[in-house]
Amino acid sequence: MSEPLLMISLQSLRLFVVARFVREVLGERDWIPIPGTRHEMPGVIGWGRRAVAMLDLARMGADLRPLQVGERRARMLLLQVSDSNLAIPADSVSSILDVDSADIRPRALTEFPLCPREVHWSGEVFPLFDPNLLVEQARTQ
Amino acid sequence: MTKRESNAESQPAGNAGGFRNYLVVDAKPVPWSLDATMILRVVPRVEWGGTAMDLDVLFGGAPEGPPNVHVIVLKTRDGNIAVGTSNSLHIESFDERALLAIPELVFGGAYEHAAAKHLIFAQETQPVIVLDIGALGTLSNTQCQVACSRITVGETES
Repeated sequence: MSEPLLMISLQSLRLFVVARFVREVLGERDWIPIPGTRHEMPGVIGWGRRAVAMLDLARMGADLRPLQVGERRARMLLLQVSDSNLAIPADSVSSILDVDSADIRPRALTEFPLCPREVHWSGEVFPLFDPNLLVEQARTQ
Repeated sequence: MTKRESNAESQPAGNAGGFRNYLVVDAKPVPWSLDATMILRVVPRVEWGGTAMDLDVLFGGAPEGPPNVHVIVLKTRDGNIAVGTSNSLHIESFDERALLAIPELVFGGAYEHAAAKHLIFAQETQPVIVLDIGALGTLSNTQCQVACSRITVGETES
């Protein structure tokens, strides 16, 4: 059995996300900083007639440069997580990759937050981002 | 306190009220605004009495003490509050049917005390944060103390 995944690249970070969460991959998008938000979610993007929460993965990992006000990244990945939408700016997003389920294992070698599993792929190991955890965390805070 | 928004994705606020005047504060990087009908008084560039929240500080900007602030006195359900800003002000009419709810997700557990609850795109391009005046009154003591220390006390609003 295989699982369809997408790889997100952001500076030195590469991680996977399960393809079923992905609603759309947009190009460069302006974002709107909002005061008083969680550190890792500094603002929103306008999408359709909605404001969608934006997650800056660079604010979650060491050695990554956070997105600055007015700065844009080449891609904006739009995820749907239960009843919420989530926008993630990235340098690039891969096409769908079918990964053997046996290569998706509980986290042992990677440390990125919100990634309880990891993917052994092409001789390397990458975190598998679980956006459900982010939403659950927000609800229980 | 405004009605708590669902954690669901942001939907147009759907206010059927049509156009309403807002006081827009030309802050960088994003202007913010207040419902003009909730404003009791605007005191431009003078020393002001009573305690005021310096919203420039609250929003991450640089503090400026009197007399370089405009003070806006707002009527809330829990009493009057004064807020200060050193940015320029203007009145603008927004169609409230175009208000976008800011998703609760970005605030996490701090949502109840978040003053920024909605966005509106003025002229369909420039986003403006619409502040919830009710929520301003609920900001925590810590938040207020930081802000209040920037504005000195003079005569008291009657």
